[in-house]
Amino acid sequence: MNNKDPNKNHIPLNDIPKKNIHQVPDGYFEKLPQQIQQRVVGHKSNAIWNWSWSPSRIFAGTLSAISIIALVLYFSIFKNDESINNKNVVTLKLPSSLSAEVIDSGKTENNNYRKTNEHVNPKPIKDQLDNDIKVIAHQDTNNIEVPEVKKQNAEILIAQLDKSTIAAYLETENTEEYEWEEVNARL
Amino acid sequence: MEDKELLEKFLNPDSRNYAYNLLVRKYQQKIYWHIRKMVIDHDDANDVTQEVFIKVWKSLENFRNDAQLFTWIYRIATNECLNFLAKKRRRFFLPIHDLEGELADKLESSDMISGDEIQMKLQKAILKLPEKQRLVFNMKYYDELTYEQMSEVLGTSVGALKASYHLATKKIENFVQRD
Repeated sequence: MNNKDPNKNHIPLNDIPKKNIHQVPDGYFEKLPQQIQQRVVGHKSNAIWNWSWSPSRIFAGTLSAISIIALVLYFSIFKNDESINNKNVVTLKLPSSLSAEVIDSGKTENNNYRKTNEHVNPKPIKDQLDNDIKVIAHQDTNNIEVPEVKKQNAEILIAQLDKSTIAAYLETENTEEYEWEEVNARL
Repeated sequence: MEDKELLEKFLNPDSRNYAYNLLVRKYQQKIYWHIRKMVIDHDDANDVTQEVFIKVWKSLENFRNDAQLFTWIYRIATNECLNFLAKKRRRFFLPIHDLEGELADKLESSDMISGDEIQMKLQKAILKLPEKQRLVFNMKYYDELTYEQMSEVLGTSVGALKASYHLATKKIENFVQRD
C-alpha cells in the first residue's frame, strides 16, 4: 500500500479564510463621491471640448467641411456671375405709386415662377433686348394703360407692358427705383 | 433608498445631483473592490472606479428597468476593468503572462496590501487565472453574487458560469498546493 498521499500539500479553498487583503487610504470612501461629483461637473461644463477623435468623426467632419466649401464656392462664384449678367441686362424701375403689398405679391409670384421654370433658359429672351437696356416705369403711370393696378400684382403689371411701352419710359428721371432681377426672363 | 426611488429622483432634474450622490455612496465600495481585485493597484482602481461612475451619470437616463440597477453598474465596471487591462497590455506591449507577473509584483510591493502568507498565495493563484475566469471567481467567491446575477452581468449562461467557477476553484487549489 502506498502511504504517500498525493494531496498531502493540497489546501482546500474552504480552509483558507476569506479575507480582503487590499487596503485603501484613510477616508478614501468619504472623499470618493466628492471627487466623482467634481469630475461629473467638469464633464458637464467641458462636454463640448471633450471631443474624442475617432475615424468616423474625422470622416464626417471632413465631409462637412468639403460640403461647406463647395456651397460657398457655388454661391460666391457661380451665382454672382449669373446675377451680374442679369443686372447688366435689365433694371426695372417700378412706379412709386405701387403699394408695398402689390410689390411684395409681385416678388412672391416672381419667385414662384423662378422655382417652377428653372429649366427655362432666359438667354434667348434676354438677347431680344439690348444689353444695356434699362426698363423704367415712370412715377406717373397715366400714360400707361394699367387696369386695376391694386388687384394686380407687380409681375402681372410688368407682363402687360409691351416692349415699346417699356422703351418709352427708358431713362425717365424722378422715379423711385426698384430693381427686379431677371424680369427680362418674363419679357 | 431603493434603486427604483433613486432612479425616479435621478430622472427629475431638480433632484438629479442628490440622487446621483446617493447612488455613488450606495455602490462605490462594491464597485471599487470589484475593480481593485482585477487591477490590483489602488490608483488604477481609483481611476477606473471614477470612470465607471461618470459613465453611469451619462447613461443612467437611458437605463431600462428590465435589468437591476446594481447588475447594470456592475456590468459597466466589468467592461471598464477588461478595457483597462487590455489597454495596459497594449500600452506596454505585454503578453498575458507578463501582465500577470506585473500584477503579482504589485501585490508584493504595494503598501496598500496586507495579508499573511496563505492569503498572498491565494491572491497570486487567482492572478494566474484567465481574466474572465478571474472575474467569475471574484464575483462568486468574494462578492458572493448569485449565478443569475453573474449571468446578467457577464451575459453568460448560468451553466457555463458554474463550470467556470468549478474549474477556477480547482486551478487555484492546485496553484496554492504547488507553491
